[in-house]
Amino acid sequence: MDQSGENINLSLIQNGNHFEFARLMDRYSDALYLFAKGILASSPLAEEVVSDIFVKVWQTRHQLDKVANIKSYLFNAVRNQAITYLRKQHSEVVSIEDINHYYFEPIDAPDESALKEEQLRRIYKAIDYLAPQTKMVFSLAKIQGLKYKEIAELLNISVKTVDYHVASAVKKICESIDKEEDGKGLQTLSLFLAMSGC
Amino acid sequence: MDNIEEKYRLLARQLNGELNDAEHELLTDELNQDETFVAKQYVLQVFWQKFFPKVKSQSHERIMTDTMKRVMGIKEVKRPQMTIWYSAIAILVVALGISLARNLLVDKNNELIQYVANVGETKKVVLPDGTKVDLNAGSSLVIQKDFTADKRQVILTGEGYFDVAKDAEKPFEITTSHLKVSVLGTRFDLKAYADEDEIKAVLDEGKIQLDGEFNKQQPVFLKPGYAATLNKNTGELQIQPHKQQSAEQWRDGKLVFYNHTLAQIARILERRFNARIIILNDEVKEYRFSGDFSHANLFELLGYLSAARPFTFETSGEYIVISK
Repeated sequence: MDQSGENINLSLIQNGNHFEFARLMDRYSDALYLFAKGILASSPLAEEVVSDIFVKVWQTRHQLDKVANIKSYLFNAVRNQAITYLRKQHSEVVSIEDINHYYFEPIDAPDESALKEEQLRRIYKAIDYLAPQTKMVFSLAKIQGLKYKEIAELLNISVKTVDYHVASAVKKICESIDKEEDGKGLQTLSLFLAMSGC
Repeated sequence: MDNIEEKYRLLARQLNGELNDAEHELLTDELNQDETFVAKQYVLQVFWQKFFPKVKSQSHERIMTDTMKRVMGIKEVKRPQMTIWYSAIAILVVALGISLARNLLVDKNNELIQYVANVGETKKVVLPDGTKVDLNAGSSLVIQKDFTADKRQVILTGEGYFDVAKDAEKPFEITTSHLKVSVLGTRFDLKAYADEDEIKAVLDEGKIQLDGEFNKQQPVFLKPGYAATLNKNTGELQIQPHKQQSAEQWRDGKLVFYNHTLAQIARILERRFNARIIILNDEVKEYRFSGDFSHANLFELLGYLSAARPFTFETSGEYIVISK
């Protein structure tokens, strides 16, 4: 998902080209959707947030020449919108630092999978047990493919803190690979239950 | 904050492409001292590069089409089984890829009409020329509004059974992501779902011509009773006699499998029952099943399959998770 927006021509969108706008959505909607879903833990809400953001981009398209980096702009907008939703439900949530849950979307193993099922299960479990902020930073790096600097700006934290969170996640995953096998079936179930927020 | 050893910071930075030359040397030193760390580095690299959540095409398409409808301020014009919307543009970008969609849309008259069978339903439509099309679940058919031009052009994503009205003057052309079908008057099934590896045409009557990357010069024709299967990954086209009647059966609401893999069945069930299914185990994905499951609901069906060849399935939130 780490694709740069270089060949999306924003001035075409600014001039009202629907086709280029569709390309912009096609490029970023999956990454933005997973970020929104991470915060909101709901597919319909995440779809709504991402759609709202793109509608806003279209409505304010005549100002697109002022946007230096469309990727950062979109992620920032999704963060704000998702937090606004959360605030309505939990008044104690005022900014992205306050989230106490981050949903990590289950991963479909690729067909020519090079990892054993047991290894994968341990990795998922380790990710599942990460602290919410660590899980969010880790996801933004691993899934959305953002650079440390981009994550730092998005979450309003230092690059050093980003470095700490990703390293901490990598450490936990490394340690989990060592652990002995225990109660295989139960593990998967509880893992998925935990990940789906039940 | 916990104390994190330097090697994990270095490894994390390497995974994310943040490592500079000096750090690269430090990491190499760490790896040289510790064989178990080398093995872990390998696992993490594979995981980092190859394993991603698969966003369901339904979510992707919903975001694109909803947004398109909203920005174009177009209300769906409700007619029996028909909606007119420009968001067909978004669908085309998703289903056909950018370049193919661009070619089709550069046309001066690019007003499009779209017929949709949503997930969980099938639909019968009649086109302006009298052609009848049955659309299978999760399929869409786009036609140019100016359907009376010199060619009758339609775009299919998903599966449709076509009974094409005869008109020797105006050939009927169906475009899919990897294959174009040209016909005069005939009956056939064409399956071209975006999330499947194959595109398949089964001809009942008449004659159809197939064009795509696989034939640069010679046209390929299909005769009644034969099926053509195009593998999207290899580009290989196979033509074989068609023995089963599976092409017909979905139209009667039946659900029949002929030596289908569980991975294929999962996609069919997702469309038919509006479910989300994840298969964790690669071996289980390849299990093959046959049988008529027309009267079973989703969980009965999974129960029957797992009784025939054991696997476990659990619901978890909005997913059904299948493992060994």
